Amino acid sequence: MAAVAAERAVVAALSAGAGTAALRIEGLNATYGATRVVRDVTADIAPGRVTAIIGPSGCGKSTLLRCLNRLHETARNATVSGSVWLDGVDIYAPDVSEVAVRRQIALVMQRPTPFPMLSIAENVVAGLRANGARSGSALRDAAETALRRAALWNEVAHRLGDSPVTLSEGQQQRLCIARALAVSPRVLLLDEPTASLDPASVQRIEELVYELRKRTTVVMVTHNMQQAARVSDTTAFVLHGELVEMAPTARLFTAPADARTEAYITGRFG
Amino acid sequence: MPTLHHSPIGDRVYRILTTACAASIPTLLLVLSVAIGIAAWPAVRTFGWEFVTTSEWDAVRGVFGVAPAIFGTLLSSALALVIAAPLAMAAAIVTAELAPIWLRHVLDLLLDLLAAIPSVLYGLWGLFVMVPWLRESVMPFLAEDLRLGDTPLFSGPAYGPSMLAAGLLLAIMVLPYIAAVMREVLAAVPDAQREAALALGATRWEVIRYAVLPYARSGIIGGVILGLGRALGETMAVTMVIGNRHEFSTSLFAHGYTLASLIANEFAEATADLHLSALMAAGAALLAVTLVVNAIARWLVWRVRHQGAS
Amino acid sequence: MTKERNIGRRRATGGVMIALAVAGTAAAVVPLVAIGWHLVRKGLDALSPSFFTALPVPVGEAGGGMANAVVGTLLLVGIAAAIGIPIGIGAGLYAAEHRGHPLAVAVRFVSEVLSGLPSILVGVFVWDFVVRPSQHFSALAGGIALAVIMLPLVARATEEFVLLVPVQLFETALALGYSRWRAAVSVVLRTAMPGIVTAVLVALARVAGETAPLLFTAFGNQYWSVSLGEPISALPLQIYTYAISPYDEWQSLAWAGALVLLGLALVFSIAARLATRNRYGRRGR
Repeated sequence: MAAVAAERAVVAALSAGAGTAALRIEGLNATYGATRVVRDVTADIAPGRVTAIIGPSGCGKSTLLRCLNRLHETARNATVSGSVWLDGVDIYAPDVSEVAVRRQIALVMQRPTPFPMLSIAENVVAGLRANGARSGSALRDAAETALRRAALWNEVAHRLGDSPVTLSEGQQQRLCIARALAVSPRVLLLDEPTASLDPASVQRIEELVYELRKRTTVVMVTHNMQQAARVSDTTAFVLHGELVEMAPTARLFTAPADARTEAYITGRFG
Repeated sequence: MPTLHHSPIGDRVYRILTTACAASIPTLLLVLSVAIGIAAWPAVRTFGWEFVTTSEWDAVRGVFGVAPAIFGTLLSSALALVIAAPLAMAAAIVTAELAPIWLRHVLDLLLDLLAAIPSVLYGLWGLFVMVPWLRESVMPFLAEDLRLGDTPLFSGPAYGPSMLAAGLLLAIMVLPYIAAVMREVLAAVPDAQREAALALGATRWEVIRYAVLPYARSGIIGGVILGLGRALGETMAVTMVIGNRHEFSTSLFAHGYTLASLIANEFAEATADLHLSALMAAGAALLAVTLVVNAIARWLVWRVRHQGAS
Repeated sequence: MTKERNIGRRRATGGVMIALAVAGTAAAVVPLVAIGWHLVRKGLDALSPSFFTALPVPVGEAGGGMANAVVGTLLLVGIAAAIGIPIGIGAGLYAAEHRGHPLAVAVRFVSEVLSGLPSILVGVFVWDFVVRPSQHFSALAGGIALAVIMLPLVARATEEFVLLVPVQLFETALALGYSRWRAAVSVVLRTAMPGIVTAVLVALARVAGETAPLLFTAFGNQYWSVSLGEPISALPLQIYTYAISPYDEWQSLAWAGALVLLGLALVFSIAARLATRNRYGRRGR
């Protein structure tokens, strides 16, 4: 009984929204084999805000994002250098475990990646399970909370035991978001989350992201400038791995300081 | 507040375990080869090259020459391939190129079933059904009706268990494997080849003969050699139908021996160290031959698989 | 004009060749039908419930069965599975994760080589390693010999099916805070499981039918035994012993045993085929 209560406390703490966190990126460099994909990026990500990263394809946006939760280094021939400070702790410090980092900085990928051999409910709590949570009731509550926050609860409440492959792509992506939210990350990273979805799903997810800012810091890579304009507070423009400009969204889109930013926004390339 | 630290013990254990498991496989082959080699050494040292060139095998006197077994291994396998390869080719062509989809599935299933039958069951059928049939129908037919009885290949009394029986049974056993490889190899030929030939006005057969087969040639040969590899190592079925006699003979009707059946028959009763070592040496010879043959076969098949990519 | 005649000849040649190919295919299939027919007919004639319940009896006595052989096969296959499956999966996981690394390449290459080895040599090796030092034949030795045959099959299948799992799934697990080992086992391996199970079923069928490796390891036993340290009977072994014996009753029992063994092999093969159809299963359960 005491064990269950203790577990409930852990899950509750995780779910209570351990809060938003600030990220400070300093001198970040990343390579794939011989190519430098992220060049010397330094930036401040404000807590409790949505920061969008825009730029032409293949220019290092996703890699930059994946450096923020130490996922990039798991690929072959991939290296990272520099620092990323999560509320004062450098996630790249030698004594910091990357697994612990990823429990606090969650990432949702471009195409939905539900775990096919788990049910919908099991998918949502997968991250919690991996962190040691066992108790059925605590997990059920956490699942419902996360699904509600991801605006998916009403659609799946009656079929939590079904396989996620029976959901539409938009629903699957919201499931992945719910799964990421369930562990109450302090930062949520979204890598072009609506790239492969239909307009209705895109809208729902944009609304969702806008809502999330109150409880989580969100960094979102997007291909779609209008999306960035709709959803984010701050926007960063990345070109060839370099952070060209970062400013409050309204200002970046109406009065960009850098000529390259202006060229991209006005559609002259990319 | 969750901290940023986490114990890496799980990862370390996982890594050690999987590495150990992986290492066990090459180690196994190495240890197996070395063990057989070491056990074979006394016989090799005692007899030298004569071990593979002489044909006298006398456990009582301690004289061991394995030439008939080598000869029998090669002859039975060659015979098996001569029969099986064309039939496998036919089956592969029909399955890969000619048959409608439903028939393709049926043929695949049938060939898979053939491959799933255990060796001892082939032997049982061979011993009680095929060998009597050979003795009563086929061998007299060949010897008398076709007058081949005077030729060296079909001379001698028709006891039944024979090199012919072994070759025939082996052919049936290796056929599904050869056919499977050939089928895969034919399917790997890019459609562009076929389309180019059709565009030039080729008939269905000509497309196969001139566009598909040449492209897949090394893979086809690889499939045949793979079948050879299997035939060389086949033990139980061969033991039950070959007669098990240390004898050289040109006649297919005669009893014979293969390296594998030699080991199967004599190993359990061999008590003298030299006898055992001689059997081990036979095993070493078999090991060496099958390793080489299989390596060649897989290399050939691998080549076709990667030809398409280049 | 010449062109028309030419086409006619070419078509005719093609027709003949195709007819030959079809004939050849039929010839290839005929033995299967013949073997199946005989096995079923003679096997059914000889098969009776006592086959599964009675032990072998001396020649001349009525009754007799192969109960010990059936149980022996189950035990031997069980040992082979217990050893071969975990190690094979471990090796396959390593090979898939460290693709290109020399050890991973060695695993793949050597697995192919090992699975093409004559199984009698496996028996000889295990005799040398286990039977000779311990001075007696044993079920454990037989199980180890079968495990040596199973191991490369499981390793190859594991590697193949783990590689089929998209890397994004692995990365997603990592991104959720799974440790590497958990992501590999709970997510990747679990997703690859249906395919691996199929291959394991096929491998089990194969080792259940193997005789040669058991000849001097398990050796066979006319009496009831389930002890790991004693010689043990096995279905294919018993079939072989009875088949080459000169006694009609024993030969008849051999056919009965053959039918049972065939049934076993076919059931596994068909189960594997059916499982392949559900490879990316709906419910994942």
